[in-house]
Amino acid sequence: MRGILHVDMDAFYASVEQLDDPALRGKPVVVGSPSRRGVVCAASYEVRPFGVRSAMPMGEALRRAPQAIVVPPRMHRYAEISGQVFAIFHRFTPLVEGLSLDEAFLDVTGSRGLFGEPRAIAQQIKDAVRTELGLTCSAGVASCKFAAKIASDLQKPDGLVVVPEGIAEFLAELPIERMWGIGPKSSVRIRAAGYATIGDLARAQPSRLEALLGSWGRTIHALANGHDERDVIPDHDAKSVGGEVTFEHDVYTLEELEKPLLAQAQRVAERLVQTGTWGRTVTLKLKYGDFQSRTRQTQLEEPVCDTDSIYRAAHAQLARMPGLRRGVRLVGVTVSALSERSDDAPLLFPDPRIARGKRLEDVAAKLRERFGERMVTRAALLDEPSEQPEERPAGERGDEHDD
Amino acid sequence: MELTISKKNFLRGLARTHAVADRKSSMPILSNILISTDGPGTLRFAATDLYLAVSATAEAKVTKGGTVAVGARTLFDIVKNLPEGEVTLTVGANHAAEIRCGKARYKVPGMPGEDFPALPSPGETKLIDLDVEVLGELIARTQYSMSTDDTRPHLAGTLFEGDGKMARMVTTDGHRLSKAERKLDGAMLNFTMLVPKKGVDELRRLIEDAKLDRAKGDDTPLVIGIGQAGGNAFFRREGVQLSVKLADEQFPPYAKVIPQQQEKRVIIARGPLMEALKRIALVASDKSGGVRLAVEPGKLKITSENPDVGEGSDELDVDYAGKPLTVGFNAKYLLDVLGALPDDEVALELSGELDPGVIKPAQHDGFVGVIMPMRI
Repeated sequence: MRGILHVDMDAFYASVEQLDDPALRGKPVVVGSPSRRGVVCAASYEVRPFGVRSAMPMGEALRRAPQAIVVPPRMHRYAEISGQVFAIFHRFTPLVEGLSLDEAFLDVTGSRGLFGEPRAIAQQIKDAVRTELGLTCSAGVASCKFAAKIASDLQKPDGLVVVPEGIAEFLAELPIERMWGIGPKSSVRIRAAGYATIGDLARAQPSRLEALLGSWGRTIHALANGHDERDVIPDHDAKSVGGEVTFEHDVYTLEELEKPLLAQAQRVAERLVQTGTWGRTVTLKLKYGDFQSRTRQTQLEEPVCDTDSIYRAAHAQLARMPGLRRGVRLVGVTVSALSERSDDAPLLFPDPRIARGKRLEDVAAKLRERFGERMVTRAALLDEPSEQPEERPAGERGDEHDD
Repeated sequence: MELTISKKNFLRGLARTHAVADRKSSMPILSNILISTDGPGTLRFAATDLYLAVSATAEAKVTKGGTVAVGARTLFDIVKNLPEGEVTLTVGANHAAEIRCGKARYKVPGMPGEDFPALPSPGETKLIDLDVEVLGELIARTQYSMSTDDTRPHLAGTLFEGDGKMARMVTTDGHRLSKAERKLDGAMLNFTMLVPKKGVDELRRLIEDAKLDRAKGDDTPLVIGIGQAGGNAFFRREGVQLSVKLADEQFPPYAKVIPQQQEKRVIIARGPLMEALKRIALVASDKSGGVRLAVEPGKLKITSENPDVGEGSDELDVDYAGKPLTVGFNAKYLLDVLGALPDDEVALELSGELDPGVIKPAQHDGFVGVIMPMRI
């Protein structure tokens, strides 16, 4: 049986702020842009009893907890600490799949001989994170990713939950909202159809779930029964880099999609530039109000890694998508066919925009490093939250999950 | 509107137009075919996606004139499955079209023909005739190197030029380029147009359709009229007209990247070269498809290796007397250009290991293929 860990830092951004500034410890801290139109990137455990959650508009958060201390995000610092956290993960297994700065799957099946049973490994990781970095995290241990992910969330903060062999029984009593990917909107829809627990979903006719949720329904049915064969894919083997965002309200026009798409293109570009990777395939994903997903992809003549090129390619795919009239709830962009670019294959007519875009990304990356994450962005994105609190590789249905 | 038309003519009119109708458009009318009477003996079919527009005419017996737009796919499927014979088409006041043939009867909803967008027209522009064989050949030689990257619309099409003596097509995807030209006697063509990929595909269909007619013993002259007006290109043959919205883009200055004088010229039998390339490409890396071509007097050696798969080599006798040179190319790019040529012998012209390679027919200058090398 496999040993899969899901490790999730507790209120990561807020905890880092409390770590760096002792005056914030024990206080209600909200990380996010102080403007009322911004969103909450992270909320410390002190402020959560007031109902403040990540992804909530800042105005609402401050109405609920006027005493909260708002701290602007420092992505560079979080990335730095994240690197240290991941270094600890890597002591125990090379099979680490990062989902975002603050959470990862670890496959420790082959590490037992060295470090003991998965539960013991999870405990050692938690201890190391606490003593070396002064932070807490929660871990879930199971034989598959899906159950590990649920388990890590059950005893937050500082939790450690081991899922016994009968995964389905363990899951059965949990409310459907615990499932990865079922957010507030889907949960209303699923509950209205008469399913309240994961067990209800497990017992449902797969065809009924499919009618309700599209092809995702079959996936949900398999997961609810504890069937999840997905492997932990180590980051250095990543075949693609993606980002996606779910909207608070479905959008119906091309114009409304453009800014979020640009924001995702920018995030993907930043990660490509960070890792020195280029990609030739750009995939656009839309999820519609009726939960159907559609993807369209294009193969570029030249590998790219800059925001504008990725945006241009993704935007061109929008025209090939079925009508937006039924409402779009999620937009995502993924770059694949990755390579470390070299001048091994010169071109007859290199696209000057790609080289220019790359230079711009390099400069922007340097500025961010020196002056902080909010220092450089596109004018069009000034109103957009600069970072989403949840960030997952495309293909994972983690977009609605809230810790 | 009321008329009778033979199933054969009805189907032919629909077959020539229905594929252009745009089923995905946000303008529902575009998923229709426009059917209008044109005098007492002619029925006109038209479809457009606002980039391409095709219209075709067919013989019919019109009792009462009119126009209607009917779902392209449905109508095509219905007519295709009708029994052979005379078909009666009647359109009532609510634009529903009734189709009868033998004892089969359909009623399908329609939209007012007046709602259909106006199709581009060449107006006063005179179309110049070009031989279908010439046009077909120019397309066939150059299609392989057209870009499919829709973020670079200036490459995602075919440059089609006439300079008074020559008709020419050029395509490039940045990795390779092809240029095919044919001397013309008589017609003085002077034009330059960048035809988007979709338009070239449709033009090719028009040519195939024309050739099919000849095969059936049709003695209509095999020419296609070509003209340009108001940002559109027009291609017309007997009974069918295609218009293509031209790309408003600048094709790159292609003449600059075609090497003029290459030091080394290797004459190779095309068939055996393709076979050897296919053989050795089996062990090339998936990503780059790179193979090494080493020329020396009288000999061409093709090698490749891939740490995951293995290595391979093959040798060909060639006509070459110059200095030895080794160059890396993507095998697929070589195979594409060789596959587009009918000639038994080709010339591979090389300069240095990092300079572009040129493939030409050994016997004439009607074609040039340029391929960028790769470092392997």
